Amino acid sequence: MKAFARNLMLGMLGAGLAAGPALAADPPLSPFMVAISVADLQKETDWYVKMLGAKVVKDADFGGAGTHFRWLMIGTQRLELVYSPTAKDSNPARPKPPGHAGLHGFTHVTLATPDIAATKAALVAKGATLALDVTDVTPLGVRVLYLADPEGNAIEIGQQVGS
Amino acid sequence: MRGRARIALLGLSLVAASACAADAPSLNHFLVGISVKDLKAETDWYVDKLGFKLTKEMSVANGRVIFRWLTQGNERIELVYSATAADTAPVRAKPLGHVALHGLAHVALETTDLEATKKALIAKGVALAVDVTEVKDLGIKAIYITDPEGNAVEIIQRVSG
Repeated sequence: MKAFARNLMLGMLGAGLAAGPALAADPPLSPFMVAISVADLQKETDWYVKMLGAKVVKDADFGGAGTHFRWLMIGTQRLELVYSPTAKDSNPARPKPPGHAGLHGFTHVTLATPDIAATKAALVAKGATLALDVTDVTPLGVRVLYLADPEGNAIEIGQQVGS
Repeated sequence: MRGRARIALLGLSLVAASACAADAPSLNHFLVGISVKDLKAETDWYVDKLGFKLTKEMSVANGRVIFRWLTQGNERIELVYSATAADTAPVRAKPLGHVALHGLAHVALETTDLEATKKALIAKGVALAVDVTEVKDLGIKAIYITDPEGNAVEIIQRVSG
């Protein structure tokens, strides 16, 4: 009985070891950025800088056909604004939040704040319009508000209030 | 008179500065949302291929809208299922053509070893939409994959800066 238990344990250990190298070849992934295809690079940049305190950290032309990448940092969030001269709007356009999930695909970027009331006051003082006022989402443990950038992309700001 | 005006102005700007500092808490990364057609197929892909774990779920309107949080390290993805959601027209193209439609285009994750990540993904049956490509001006090399509904996921490794 003891030997059986030991063999079982060794067997499990062996399986664990076999799984080990496969997992080791699979490095952990961490957040890097979210990309937004924009129609007006300057206007979009200005909005993120003014409203959300973004800083422009990199600019790069790509491919020689007028495509341009611009990286913005908002705290730990990196945003890549991509300007492509041939890019088009979806028709219909993505609805404004909270209806923005009405079209499939990437819908919103959410930023964390430690104090949503203070964030809201600061945004309103800067002339931002809330697409959705402060709303408790109790099952997810967050209190959120929504903004739309000048091209209608949904930015959610959330404060964690539960577990 | 002139001195007093200057002091008053100075006072005003100090008030404005401190109000700014107190009123604008720092913002940081939290999550990225994706509206999906097939919640199960999408969940399975992020779990099986990228190692995400299902951490939270919320159903509203009798299951006509479901939110699901998937986490992997510090990354959080919110899958949103809405029974009435439609496809964009045209449908967003695969990378690198995915930026040809305005709006949120892709999410990028960082690895410390792009070759190892690529190998692990291929071993799991994931096809690369774009093979390893270096973007010198941005100091990265990257691959692109797409989830079952065509949403672009970029995986990058920093090569400088």
